[in-house]
Amino acid sequence: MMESITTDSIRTSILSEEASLAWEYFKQEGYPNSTHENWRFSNPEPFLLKNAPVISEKLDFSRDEFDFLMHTDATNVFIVNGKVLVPETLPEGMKLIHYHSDIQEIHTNEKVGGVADIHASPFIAENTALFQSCTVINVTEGRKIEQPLHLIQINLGTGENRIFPRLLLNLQPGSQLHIRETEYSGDSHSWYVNGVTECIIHENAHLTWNTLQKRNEKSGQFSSFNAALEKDAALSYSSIELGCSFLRRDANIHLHSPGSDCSFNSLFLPSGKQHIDISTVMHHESPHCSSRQLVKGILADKSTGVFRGLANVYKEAEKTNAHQTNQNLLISPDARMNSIPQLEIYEDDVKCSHGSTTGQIDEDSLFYLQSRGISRKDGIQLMVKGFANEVVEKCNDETFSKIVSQAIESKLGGFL
Amino acid sequence: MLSIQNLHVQVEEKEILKGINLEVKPGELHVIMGRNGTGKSTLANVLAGRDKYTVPQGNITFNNESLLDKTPEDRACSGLFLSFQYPVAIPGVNNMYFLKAAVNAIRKSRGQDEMDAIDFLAMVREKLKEVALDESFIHRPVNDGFSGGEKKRNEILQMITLEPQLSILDETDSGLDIDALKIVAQGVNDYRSPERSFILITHYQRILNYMQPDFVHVLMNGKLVKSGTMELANELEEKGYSWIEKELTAAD
Repeated sequence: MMESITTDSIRTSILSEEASLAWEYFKQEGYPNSTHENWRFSNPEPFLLKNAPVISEKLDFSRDEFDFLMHTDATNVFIVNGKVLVPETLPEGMKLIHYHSDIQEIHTNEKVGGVADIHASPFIAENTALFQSCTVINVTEGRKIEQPLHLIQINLGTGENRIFPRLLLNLQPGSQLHIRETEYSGDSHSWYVNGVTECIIHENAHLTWNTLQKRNEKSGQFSSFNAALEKDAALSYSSIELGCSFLRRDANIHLHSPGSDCSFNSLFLPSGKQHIDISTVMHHESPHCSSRQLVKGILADKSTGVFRGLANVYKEAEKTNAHQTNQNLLISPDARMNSIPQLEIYEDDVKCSHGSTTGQIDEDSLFYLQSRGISRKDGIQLMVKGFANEVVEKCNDETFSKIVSQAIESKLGGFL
Repeated sequence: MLSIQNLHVQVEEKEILKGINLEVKPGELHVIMGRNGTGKSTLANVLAGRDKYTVPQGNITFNNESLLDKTPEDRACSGLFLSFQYPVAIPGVNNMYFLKAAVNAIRKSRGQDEMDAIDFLAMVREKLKEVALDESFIHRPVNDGFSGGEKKRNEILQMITLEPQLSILDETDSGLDIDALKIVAQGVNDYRSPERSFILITHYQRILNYMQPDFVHVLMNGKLVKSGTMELANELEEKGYSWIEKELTAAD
């Protein structure tokens, strides 16, 4: 089934042992299909591009061509086809290391693969076997980095390609970092993107991670965001999903030690025939941890969406607070949404809730706006933007929110 | 200004209003009273243009133009305002953003320039004082998490900001404590002028202690069965509605 991937493709340089283990597991499992419960509403098959070459760099990349993606108030770092272009200057206390095939050993306290479990998804296993290059970011203990770090993930090539971006972020105790990530297609080819991000957030460290996904509408992306939170660590994650023909975004969050807190937010806006699948697993492994998930979808045309969210409360994770909300707005009668909110609770002393609603524009609200002189068309726009805003506001980043709002508005302009 | 002639209204085949006649002249305040379920809110919603009602018979004109074939937004732009009995919460939409969109939509329809954010904020600050609301209030999402009193004061804020000619106040007094009631009544009184008219729909005579209505009407069985002045409201407060029912049966 993996026609063009031979055992030659498996990484033999860094972490070669992990690579062959992951490959073994991947071969055994294969790509999932709709008979797998976790993939019941998402069929990856047409987007796997099994015959497309695997690439890991783009030598003639010109930064100037993409300077419109840079943010003036951030440290901009380009990652092209998974290969990071290490910038000349970085904020004090931050280290950025590029691991690639010329380096035999990984010098970091945390192992690549320590958080992203290859057994969680065949795509994680595939990435772990095949990534050729890995970005490692480390923030020194106690260092609070004020300036946002903007990761600009670009794919760029001359035809159909496959890439396997890999990133490990290590926040030492008491440190703080604010990340923006832009996922962008530098060309109009179909791509297969299988990216894995791992974050280790140590005691008392705080991470804000905001992603704007704007891949071209031919591409298929299978990405996972994996994080482990130590004592009193906090993570605020938000993603705004606008692009891709097919997107599966997995989030595997491990509230590993007491007092850790995660806010997970996602807004997705498919139109045309786009398919977007947001799948989260919140592992409440320890007592006194809290999580809030807010996932919202605005679906137009013949698009489809899936939200699968699981809050898994382990035994002895007492005083857990786990909440999950999924709200979807169907702009078109042909759009379809499948929502599967789930709770698995193995401890009694917990507060958990989940709720999911899917509906059309509320006519009562629309009448209210019209009765104030606002036209029906403007009223719908106002309400849809308002619906989206709740997630945008969670980003806690004025510049990013402004950029995101413009991107949302321009996308909405296409169908409202 | 407003003329309602033999207005019949149905909702899902059921006839709710069975021939309403009402003339409202500039500067007048009309009160419509009646029991629950007599169609008071239906009348308010039909005037504002809610589309779930059908009008098999009758006509409504506003400033000599037929109202019935106009959209709700066109009615608002022509100077009609409905204060909702149950103002709708719109999460995610900032109150100020909403109000500015409304003001500019109405200004645009009048051929006026749009207001910029600075002028608008200065104007709203003044209006907020009139309804005793804090400035933080307009930075919250529309009616989201507002108390009952805040919602009604927000309606009055919208009224005095949008400056309609005819305001229909649908139970704007219900659910208010005495302080909020006074603020709402004061807001309306301050807004009264020889050009501006009001239709106040209410259950209770209470708010009329703070206002001077020109006419009081009783809505019963889908019709305005009795009209009078403040004395009629006092009589209703004292005796309820059953004596009117008896009068009607006797007349039949």
